Amino acid sequence: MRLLENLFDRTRPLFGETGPFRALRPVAQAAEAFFLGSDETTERPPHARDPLDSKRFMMMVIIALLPALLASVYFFGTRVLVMMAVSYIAGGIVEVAFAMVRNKDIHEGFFVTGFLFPLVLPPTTPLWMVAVGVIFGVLVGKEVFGGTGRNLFNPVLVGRTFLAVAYPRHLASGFVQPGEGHLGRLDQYITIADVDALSGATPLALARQGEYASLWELLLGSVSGSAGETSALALLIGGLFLCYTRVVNYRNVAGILGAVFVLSAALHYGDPGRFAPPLFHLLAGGLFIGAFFMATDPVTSPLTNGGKWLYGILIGVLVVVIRNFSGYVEGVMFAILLGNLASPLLDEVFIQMRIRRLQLEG
Amino acid sequence: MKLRGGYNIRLAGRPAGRVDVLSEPDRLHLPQRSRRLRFTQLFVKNGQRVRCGEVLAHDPTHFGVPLLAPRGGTVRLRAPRGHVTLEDLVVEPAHVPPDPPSGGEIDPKRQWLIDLGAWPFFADAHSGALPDPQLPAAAAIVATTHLEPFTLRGDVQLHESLDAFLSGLDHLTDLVEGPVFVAVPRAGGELASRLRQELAGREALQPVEIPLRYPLDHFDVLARALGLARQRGRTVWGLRTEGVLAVDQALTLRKPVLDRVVSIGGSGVTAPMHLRAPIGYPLEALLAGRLVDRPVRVIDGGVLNGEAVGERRLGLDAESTGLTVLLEPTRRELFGFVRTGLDRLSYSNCFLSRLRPRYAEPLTTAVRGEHRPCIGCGFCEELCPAGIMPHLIHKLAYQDALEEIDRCGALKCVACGLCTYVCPSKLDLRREIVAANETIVRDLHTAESAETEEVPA
Repeated sequence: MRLLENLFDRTRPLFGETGPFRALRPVAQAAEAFFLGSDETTERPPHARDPLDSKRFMMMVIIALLPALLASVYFFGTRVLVMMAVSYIAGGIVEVAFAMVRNKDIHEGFFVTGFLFPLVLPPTTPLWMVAVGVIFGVLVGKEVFGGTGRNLFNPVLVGRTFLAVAYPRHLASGFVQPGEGHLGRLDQYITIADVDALSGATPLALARQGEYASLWELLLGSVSGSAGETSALALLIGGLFLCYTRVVNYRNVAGILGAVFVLSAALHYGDPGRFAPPLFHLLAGGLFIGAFFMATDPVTSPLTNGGKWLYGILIGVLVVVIRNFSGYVEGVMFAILLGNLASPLLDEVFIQMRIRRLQLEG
Repeated sequence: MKLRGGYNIRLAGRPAGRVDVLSEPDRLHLPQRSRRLRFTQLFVKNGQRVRCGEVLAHDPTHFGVPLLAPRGGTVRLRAPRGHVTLEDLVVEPAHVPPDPPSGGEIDPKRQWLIDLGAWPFFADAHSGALPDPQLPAAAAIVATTHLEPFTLRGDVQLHESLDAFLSGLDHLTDLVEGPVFVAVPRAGGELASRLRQELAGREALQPVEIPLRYPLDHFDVLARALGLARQRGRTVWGLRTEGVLAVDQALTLRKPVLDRVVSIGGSGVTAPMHLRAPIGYPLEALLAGRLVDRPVRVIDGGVLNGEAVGERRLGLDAESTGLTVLLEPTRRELFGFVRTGLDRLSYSNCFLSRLRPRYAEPLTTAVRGEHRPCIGCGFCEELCPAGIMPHLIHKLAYQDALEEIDRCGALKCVACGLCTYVCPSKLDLRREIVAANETIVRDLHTAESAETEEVPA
């Protein structure tokens, strides 16, 4: 510990304004913050601060995603971990490069992006495609807007949308059947070459043909789908944990899930032959990972409580509409991106209402 | 009454209910400036002998509020700078000034309050400034507590002198045109119920229950919740328990207010408690033997609003309510952000300490994180007692959109500091809002203030 402190103390001048490695300063600062945290003290009141910082904030999301990651490795094999490593390295390079050019701190938001990205891809996605997707997501989804806290769209979904548009064939057909038994696919490394043998349509695609996966399978996650989206139970555990820690706001989640449930129930009971039952829509596809982990990103969702409810409901309605009335079988990705787009507007409405109320109070 | 926001920081070192009387000092350093007062007009010379209760200096900008000699002694000026020092102290009966002339500009009772040193306990509820004694008081708000960690506890004083408090309230009702609101915290206990009983029996007093959350005892927050608007030519007084006791001392006993009860608490104090000491008591002597053996920061006032005591400040000033001592961080933690956090309390539920209900944290002066852009968590808005949106003002301040900031109600900010305290991105929102408000008042409001402040009575 002391050793590490000494190391940072001694090397700090090398990365200073006039040091030989000044270009690498963001990297050195990020390393110090990662290992030892900040040593800054308050200069004026308030003299003490809450212990929550953005590292801890992001760490909570990663802890909450661990059950889903474990489920994913069990169902689809260890390759998911390799995809994650590629995602971190490729996205990390973009993040670090931008921080160096801007001479700004490296922000920890990337830890979540890099973790989440492979989980929303088909488990056989080629590694180069993972890299291209995450680079596009971080670059266009975040950095061009000015970095963490200033982005309009969720970078994970920007990257995934890019891949879905650029490589539609793979993104639609790269799904495989999940592993079974004690080991699942823990001992397997499946790649794109195995798709022909193991290929499995996602529950939402099967539902178009009137074939519904059992709710039990959907809950556990033993269905085909993107690497981390299949196990509704694992995502629910993580998601509720995040709601409890208050890292995510329950209003977003409740709005989405409530709207999907109500609207799909209305459709189903109106025409049971054509529309899937509401619980199926809740558990199938990427709804849980989207609702708990992506639509709740505080940067790209509305700030006001009323805005959060409306944003949730908007996304939920769009999910049901896209799933049932468009060529796409899954609509969560587009629905959240459209929600992101609408969130400044929703905020504006509620902020104006709030200001009027404040003015009335005098 | 609608109160919103607020939060209690459970900081270790809450002052215990005991009030210790300090031993007589060998000298007193009376600061010539305190939070609101500047005693620039001196009435004594170097080496002059003064009696206890005699006037040492005036604040000419604040209605001639006097700085009284808490003990008899010999005056030393500018040794050290900014203080009136009294040496060779003697304890003697206090000198009482002659009765103020009736029919003067100021009502005689109010003049007593000024002459006997009780006026610094008064505040204008809306601005926090010293109220003008010539203006009629439309109402008064008495808060029996200090909810900021840590300043003087109201219950500790009430325990000792409930009767004097009630008699002080009676004096206040005579001085105020309208009602006297007494804000009592929503708490159980014998003292609280006795106080409620006593208040219920007095017609001119209106008891108001407030939740035990900082800063819901703030006069401006209470004034707004009670619907007491700013009025031109009238004021609303704000007082705390010690203020009401000072009123009683001045008007019932006709004795100058020379001593103060102050709290000493916080993570850097070995035995947090209350102390009774004369104004000017040397801080060094006051703190000696009471601090832990580690680097600390001594703060005049509470953690959220107090100012760090610099080396130039040597004695208790005329407005001190308490000293909070925080530890300076000495060690850094390896991988602090992935630790369980059983020992750190947070507004969020991101630390396991959430499962330790009675824990109070020994806070340090560490910022505890890196500065980041706002991530829109909304905690600042949830805690804001003024109902404004600090995160929104932060974004507007970034764009220098002053008019827009004004429209968002930034002037309602009471500078409680909770937004800055809670921000996970470590933004100093309090400072941004206070700075924006200064510019707004200076640039946008000076021209129109005459019209906007006029509210029909």
